[in-house]
Amino acid sequence: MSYSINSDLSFKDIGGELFIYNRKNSTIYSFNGTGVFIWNGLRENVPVDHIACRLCEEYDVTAAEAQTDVSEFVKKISDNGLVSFAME
Amino acid sequence: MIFQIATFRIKIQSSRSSGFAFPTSFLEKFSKYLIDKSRRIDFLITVVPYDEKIPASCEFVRRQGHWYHEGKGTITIKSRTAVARVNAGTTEMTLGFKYRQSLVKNNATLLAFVRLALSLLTIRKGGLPIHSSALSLGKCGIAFSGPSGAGKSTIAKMLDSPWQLLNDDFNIVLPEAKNAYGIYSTPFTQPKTLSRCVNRKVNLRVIFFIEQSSRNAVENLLFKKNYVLLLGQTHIFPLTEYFGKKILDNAERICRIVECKRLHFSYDGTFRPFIEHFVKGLV
Repeated sequence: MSYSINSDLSFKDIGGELFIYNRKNSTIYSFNGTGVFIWNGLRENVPVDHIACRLCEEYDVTAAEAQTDVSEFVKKISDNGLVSFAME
Repeated sequence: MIFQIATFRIKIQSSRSSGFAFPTSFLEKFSKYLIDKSRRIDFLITVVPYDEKIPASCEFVRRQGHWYHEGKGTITIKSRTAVARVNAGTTEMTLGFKYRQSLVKNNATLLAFVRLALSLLTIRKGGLPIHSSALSLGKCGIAFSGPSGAGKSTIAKMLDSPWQLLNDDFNIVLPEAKNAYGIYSTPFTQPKTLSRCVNRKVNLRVIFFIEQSSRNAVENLLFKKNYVLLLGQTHIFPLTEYFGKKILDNAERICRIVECKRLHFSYDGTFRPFIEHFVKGLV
């Protein structure tokens, strides 16, 4: 399963924290290190399952935890219109 | 008609075929900002009839009742009652009204275009339009920023003379020489309040993000919190990629140079001495 990034977004990295500005509704979002990790995976069109695997390798979390965290994060940013499900 | 807001000179004219006359209320609103003539015009707005032939380069977006713009140099805007064309290269805007009568009765659309033009010029010049109540005490300028209902106008009412009100809703922040920013008045507020506003610029010393409380207190926030709060009070959308990036860059620089703090303020009459004591510490 992969997602496409909303084209109305502008980005700014400040000290490892990513700020995302939705130009259509003037809303700002900020992601911490883990969020940036998942976000970068989505930008590289890495399937969600693979992002969770990478997260396990990078951070001290179990596969199940990583899967839940990634799914919740993706749902949240999808609900906020930052990404949309990309049909294969 | 040429008027100057902040450092920008904006000319509004009507095309011969439009038969458009500026409403008295509009002229009154801008009377403090009118200038006789200027060699340099930063932005030209031409009012034309809606059905006048629109240049081929003007791309329309069919989203009734919404502003919209796109393209690299050209920004196109459409609302339910008006069409405008802004050329970001030559800073020219063509404005067409579908319902001339409604414009005469209510000049909100024209004001919205001027406000948008001003905002774009500000962002391009490294500044930000900020939803704020800006006041000065001597040479010290303070912006009280927050969402609608946060208390911006209330603070403006509590701080009367010798405080000077620039505007209680919408102000322009622009970079000055060296590491400093100035805050400028604009005409965008209620007519009754506008009569109290002074058309001037002061050095911007502090941006307060206000919050009503039972006590008065100044709280230091993390940089990222200030950054998000400031961006949340720009209210310019939708934007092209260029302006989106500029907003993020400009806000970062402002947050690094100008002090930004959270201000908890109370209505109980203790706020004025509290804030004046704070300002005294700045000077």
